[in-house]
Amino acid sequence: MAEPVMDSPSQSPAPVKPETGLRRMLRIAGPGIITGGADNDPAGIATYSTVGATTGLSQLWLLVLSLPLLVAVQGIAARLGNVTKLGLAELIRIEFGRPIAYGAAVLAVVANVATIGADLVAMAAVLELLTGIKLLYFIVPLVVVMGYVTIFQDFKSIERFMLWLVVVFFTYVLAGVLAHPRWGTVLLRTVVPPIQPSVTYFAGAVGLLGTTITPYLFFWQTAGEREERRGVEQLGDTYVDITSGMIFSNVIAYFIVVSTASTLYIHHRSINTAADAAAALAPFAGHFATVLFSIGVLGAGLLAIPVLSVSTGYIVAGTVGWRMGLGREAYTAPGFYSVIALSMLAGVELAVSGFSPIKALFYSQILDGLVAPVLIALMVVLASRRSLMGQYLASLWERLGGWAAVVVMTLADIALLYGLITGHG
Amino acid sequence: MADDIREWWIKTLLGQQRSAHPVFGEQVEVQVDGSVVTLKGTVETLDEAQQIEREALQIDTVDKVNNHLCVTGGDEVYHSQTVIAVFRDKGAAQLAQQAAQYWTVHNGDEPQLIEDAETARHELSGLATAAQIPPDAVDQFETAVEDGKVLLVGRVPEDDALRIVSELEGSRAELVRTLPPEPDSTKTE
Repeated sequence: MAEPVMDSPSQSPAPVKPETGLRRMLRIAGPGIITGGADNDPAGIATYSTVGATTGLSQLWLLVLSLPLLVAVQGIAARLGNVTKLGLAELIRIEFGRPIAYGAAVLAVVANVATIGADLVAMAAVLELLTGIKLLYFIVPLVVVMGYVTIFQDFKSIERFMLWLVVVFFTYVLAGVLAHPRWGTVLLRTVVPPIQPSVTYFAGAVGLLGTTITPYLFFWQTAGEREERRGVEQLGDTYVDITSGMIFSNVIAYFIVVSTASTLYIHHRSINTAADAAAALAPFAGHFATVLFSIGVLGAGLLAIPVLSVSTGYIVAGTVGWRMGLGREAYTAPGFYSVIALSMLAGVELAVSGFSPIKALFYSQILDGLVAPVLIALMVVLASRRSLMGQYLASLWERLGGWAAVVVMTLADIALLYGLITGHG
Repeated sequence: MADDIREWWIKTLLGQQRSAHPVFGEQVEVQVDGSVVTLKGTVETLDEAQQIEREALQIDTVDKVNNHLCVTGGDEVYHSQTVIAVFRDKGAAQLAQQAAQYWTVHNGDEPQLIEDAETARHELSGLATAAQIPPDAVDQFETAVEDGKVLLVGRVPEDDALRIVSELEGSRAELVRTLPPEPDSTKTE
């Protein structure tokens, strides 16, 4: 059907399109915003809080630096899904063989499950903080709700549910403002990198990068192109989607660092978890900031845990060769949905087993950090293969960004391992 | 702007003629109200709509253009994508072929069974060229056929490729792969 062209300004020929501006942006940016929100899971919030509390504002510049790397990596992941119509795990299996695919899958699944467990504990901990009821009572009900929505609702419903949760993240912007930072210093530290040659500083940098560029999001992004049914003509939409999502993700991370740096760092208060950060904010920024921070952790978990478990489903189903997709009814892709359920149950087991959530968080991040550069390298190689991509090869900018992410994250891993070996980690 | 087009615009704006646009013909209607021009009618592409608007704005007496031209969507490019599945034996491939009748819906081609190396080489090298990939990229499929396996190959609209891949993933296919999408001007929705 013909689309009417809109009125144009008077003096110059404006680009006239049937659908423009904010409306188009909102239509296509949904999945990217969800991905960006899922990037800031409770484990990530704990990491950003710790970075703010231990190194102040000195690493804000890293969030700016990591943005183009993140966009490049997620762009490559999306391009792979868009062009090949296959999942990332499936592509790794087909192009690199089963041993590499199974190795990467095992590491990624273990990291995902550990993160689910750590996120569940973090969510339950803030509920305990808000209600005074022991955290163990919250874990199972939380998983039941998230499991039901993920497995039994259709993808569009899940997407709507997740988009509403994204609103919760703006509590961090408010918490950051309530913390009364010195905005001049904040702006300065955003653009000028004050690198400090200390183990704490580099450990924080490792955590911050590792939390930002996360393996489970690669699988989610590739699959997202399939779920959205985008074709190569919509690759431009994909970039709008990814860029908006990653900007959103880093802006939220930015305000978490600002809020904890402006309160906990200057009062020399140390924290270990997101719940600690929420509780510790109260004396300096008021009870309202604590409540906002806690609500943010809850929303982050409700968004991230389904993404983590579905991403685990994609990894296993793609590696083994099962049917998959949130657009499918559960009975038509039983293996895929079983893995989603099992990953949540394994997370519950981890959360209630008494295994320290800090250890779970710590080890999941190490695993993520080790797996991420390997996966990114595989993704860049895949997206550069003409035999796979034809004329839709990754752009030079994407490849440079991808390899830069590999180098930066490998250096971060080396720094982390050095810290662990020398006992300074 | 070409002289004949400029002349057409000037005469039209002065009300001296009612002839068709030299390039776009009767499908474009121009209404003039002082220094304001209103464009109506249909064009194939967005570029064409913008071009006509640009022409009008290059005439000194025109201050504003209300562009109400309708774009009929002629600039959309449809893509096709080849899906290849490898089966251990002919029986499994035939089963999948029967289940894949919907491949032909929405202008997809009938999926083809390939069991001999000669046919595989011929068919796949043609598809590789169309998809702009190196011919040796399809070597693995030729090798599979030489090893006694059977291929199911179909060319479908890109929109349907995902659904078909998804169905084949759940079949007894040993391997499912796609070739990159290729523009297909012969297909329409």
